[in-house]
Amino acid sequence: MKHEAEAEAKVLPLELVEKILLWLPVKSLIQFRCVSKKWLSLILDSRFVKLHYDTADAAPTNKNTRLLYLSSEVPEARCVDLEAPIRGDYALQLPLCCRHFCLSILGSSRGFILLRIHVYGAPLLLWNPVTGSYRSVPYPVLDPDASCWTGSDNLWGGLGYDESSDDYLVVVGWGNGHEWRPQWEYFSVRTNSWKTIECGHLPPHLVTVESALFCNGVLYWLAVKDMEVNFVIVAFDLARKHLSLVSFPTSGGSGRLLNLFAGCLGLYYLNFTEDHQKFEIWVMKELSWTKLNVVLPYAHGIHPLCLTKGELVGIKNNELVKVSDKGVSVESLRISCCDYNLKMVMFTQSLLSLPDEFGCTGEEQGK
Amino acid sequence: MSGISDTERMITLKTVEGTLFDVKSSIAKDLKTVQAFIDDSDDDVTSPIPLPNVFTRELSRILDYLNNHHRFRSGIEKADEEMARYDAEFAKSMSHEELKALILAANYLNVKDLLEFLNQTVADVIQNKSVEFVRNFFGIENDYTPEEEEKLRNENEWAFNGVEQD
Repeated sequence: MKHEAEAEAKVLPLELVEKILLWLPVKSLIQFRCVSKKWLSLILDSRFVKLHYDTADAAPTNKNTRLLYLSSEVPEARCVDLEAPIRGDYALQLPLCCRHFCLSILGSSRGFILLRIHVYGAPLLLWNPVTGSYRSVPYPVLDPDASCWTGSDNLWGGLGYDESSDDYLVVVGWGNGHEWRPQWEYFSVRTNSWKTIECGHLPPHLVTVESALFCNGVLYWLAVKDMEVNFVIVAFDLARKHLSLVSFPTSGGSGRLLNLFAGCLGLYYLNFTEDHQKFEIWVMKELSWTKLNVVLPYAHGIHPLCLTKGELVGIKNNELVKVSDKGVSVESLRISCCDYNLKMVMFTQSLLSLPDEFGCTGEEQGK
Repeated sequence: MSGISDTERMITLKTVEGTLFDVKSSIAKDLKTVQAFIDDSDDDVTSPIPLPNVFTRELSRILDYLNNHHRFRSGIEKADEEMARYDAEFAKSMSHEELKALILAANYLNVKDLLEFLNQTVADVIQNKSVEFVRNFFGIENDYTPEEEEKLRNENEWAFNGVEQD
């Protein structure tokens, strides 16, 4: 006799459904908010969102990693899934308040992007492109005559997450090639305040690429030191609030920082010590560098962005290209982006919100 | 009963339909609900343990999965590939209703690894499907008004690209 219960359609209780939703990419979660009001409520729940983020982060490949770039043709951000066929890029609305200004991307962490608005007096923005929400962060120095505003200084920055205090930190620095004495400050989202970062123990240095890479609790910038063309990486450890310098693996230059697999820091640079100076990719594991055996079609001028499934994704002449491990171009996509360093970032989509310790979160659905 | 090693001891389980399954105690350890029952019993469990929420079809599948995974893990080389192939076949062999029934059973019996595998399997199934498909799959009624749903969709238009047709 077939049991009656067997024939009925099974209904999974919400606690079990939740465990399934943890494995979905962010894009699906956004769609499935439309399934029912219970699902909307679950997907908006901050406990669920955090658990979902941690689950995706722990997976061998994060399904939510995207390339985001600021279009040079229209005032919008565009998003590309590099794992899937890269033809599928789509537009994301920038926050209304900054949409029509010149913007730079200084970094990203956990789904938030740090935007710099090139208008005097405008704050920095912490923006989540998926949820559309953003928060303003006023600069540490507001005096209009300060060197960082008069144009004699370079300004650089980065965004990271400090796990030890569940806090997002915005780091900003400025300095010039005359004095070689930069200033560094960090902003804590939780305390809503700036603090100075000690850098007197470091040799004179200057950051050369204004955006940072955040990797494993540390922010990294490409820099030069000792008033020479001596390339180096500046590292800021978020938990210890400590600034240090990391040398290149060999003497070299023209570098680019990459976020590689398993949260490892990658460096793409021109190695001067080779007979024929070569572009190479090195990975940092536990404070020591190892060279990656990857065919780099450097002769074709590709700037790498990341490695995915053995294929190199990079930019060449306004085109996003995927190159197989034999150095053959597998796919390409025309993109209109004029600055690979400041108008483009690899980021991980998330539904996270910033900690709400002090005051309001600017909420706008990006319309 | 001294002299008999733990891995040889057999536990008997009884499904809703009354079918009996003899299970090695090493396998029974993965059925955490059953293991808790055994641990809580003062005496050795000799009579069949009744599982009032588990049907024969589901228990049979669960034991098949556990037996195979134990076999793969007992150290043959290339086990990873074989295991992946087995897992893929295992997932494919079930209808959506059977998948859900198995999730309920695996949850009741607290079989962690299998449950996680099933959750990921269902996630893969629904990932690129339409909202309507998902409602049908889970047997959920739409409680939005057409206007409410329209508004939600428009807010994140970008997310709805590339959805598979049902």
